[in-house]
Amino acid sequence: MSFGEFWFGTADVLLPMERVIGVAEGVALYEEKQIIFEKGQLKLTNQRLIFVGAQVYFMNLDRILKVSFDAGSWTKSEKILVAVSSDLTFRLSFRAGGCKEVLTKLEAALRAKEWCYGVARKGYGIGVGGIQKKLQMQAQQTELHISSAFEDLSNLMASAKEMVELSQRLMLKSKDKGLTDDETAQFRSQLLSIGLQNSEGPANPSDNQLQQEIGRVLLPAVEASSGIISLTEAYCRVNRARGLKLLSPEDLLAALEGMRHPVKLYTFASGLRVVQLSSLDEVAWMDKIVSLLEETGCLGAEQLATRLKTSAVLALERLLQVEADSRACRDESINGLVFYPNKFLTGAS
Amino acid sequence: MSGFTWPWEYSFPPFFTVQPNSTTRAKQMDSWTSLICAYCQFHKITILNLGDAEASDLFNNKTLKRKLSSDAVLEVAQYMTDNGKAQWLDGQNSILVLWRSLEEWAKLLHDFAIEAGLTNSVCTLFELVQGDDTTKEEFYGLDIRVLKVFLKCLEEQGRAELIGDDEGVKFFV
Repeated sequence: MSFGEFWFGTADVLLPMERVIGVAEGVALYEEKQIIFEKGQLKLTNQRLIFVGAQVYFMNLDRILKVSFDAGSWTKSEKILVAVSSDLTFRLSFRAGGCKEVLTKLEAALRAKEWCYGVARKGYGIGVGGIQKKLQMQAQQTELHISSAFEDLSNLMASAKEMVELSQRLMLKSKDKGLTDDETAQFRSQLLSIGLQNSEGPANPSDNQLQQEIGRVLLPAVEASSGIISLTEAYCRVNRARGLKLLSPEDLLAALEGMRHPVKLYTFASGLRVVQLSSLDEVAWMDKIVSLLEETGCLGAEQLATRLKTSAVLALERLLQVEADSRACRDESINGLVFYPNKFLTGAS
Repeated sequence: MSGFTWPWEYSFPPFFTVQPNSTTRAKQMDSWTSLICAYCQFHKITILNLGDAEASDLFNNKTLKRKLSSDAVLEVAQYMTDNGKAQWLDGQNSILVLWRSLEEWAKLLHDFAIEAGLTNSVCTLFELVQGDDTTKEEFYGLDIRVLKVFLKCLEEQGRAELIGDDEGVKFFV
């Protein structure tokens, strides 16, 4: 057995899945005590030992039986003894140092035995490259999921269209067979509850049901906030009550627009829209604010909001309304906007 | 400023904010007009310089920490001139506050002239407002510019004539 059985000539390139884990310069290679190469570069990879001198030779790590360390002396460099059989040992002499480092890595590589599965293993590999590959794979997977999800969605929409058509056909037939309005309404409401709305056709009777529901949910809230709440709050409350069957803001608005009782949509002069108690008496309301103003002397929007248990925005709208009705007047100062009873018109008393 | 009684509005903070409601604003402007007239009459002021309005306690209530902004002062001035309670002077830098109407001032001057037997003779404007014979008269100490406005009013009525380079006046019966 000799050198040629273990070391093979090669080009200085790495194999697939191979990576360099250690490099040392100024290394000499001995077969037993006989020098074979002087002064080369030793590369340790996860699969091979590569000796880059005038020529490039490599030895697969799986040929190594045992490695040991020769500490050397002040005339001899440190060495790694690489036993490949019971009677053949290669010596790597590290004349420019770095022996310990390479030894540690070599031992680790021998333990890891990456050559066993390095190439064949199906995976992302190790290190930064591996992470990159893994992320790439994940991105591809996600893309796949998304596109298939959209496919599902368009399929769903297509079938929804069919169902609306079907419902219309059924409706026509049901009329011939003398189905009562109640049953038709129930059918429609069932369709609506699964999110299918007949955009054309007559006003949806199930709107009624939705409106009833909205009324039921909002009434206590509106009553608790002095008869008026913001659209945002209404939206949140309705959807909290509905749980999973969420209502879109557009649908809520549309339903509210058609409502007269027990709550209704109200638009302030500023354009702000709110949900208001239908039974709310505008005049009585303004009287209440005016009397509050007279009682306290003056009120800012925040203070009024606290007293009425409503939001500052709504309180301000109310105050502006009273002002527009000539029953309040404003004081703008560094302390903000404050409203007073309109003493200009009522006199100093 | 001893003696002057401020109206209740002066200690009412909204008085110093121009009210957006037109009905309220009209009332507010009326209140300002009467306050300015009363104030000027009390202090015998006829010319109000709008440039330093903020310095005057008329527009700046220091105890209340409220003052009428310069824009608002101009708005009040405009309202007053529109309603015959003031006249613009020097462009729009100051106003002649008419706490007594133009006609009343004119009559006052004319009555004095007749009583003093000055009709058909010429007297200087300076004489009228600074002369020894007029110290007891209401128009004593008036700004010459203001006096001219009043005399022009008389001139239009045909009861006086400004003479020379508006430095003298001749009263008619």
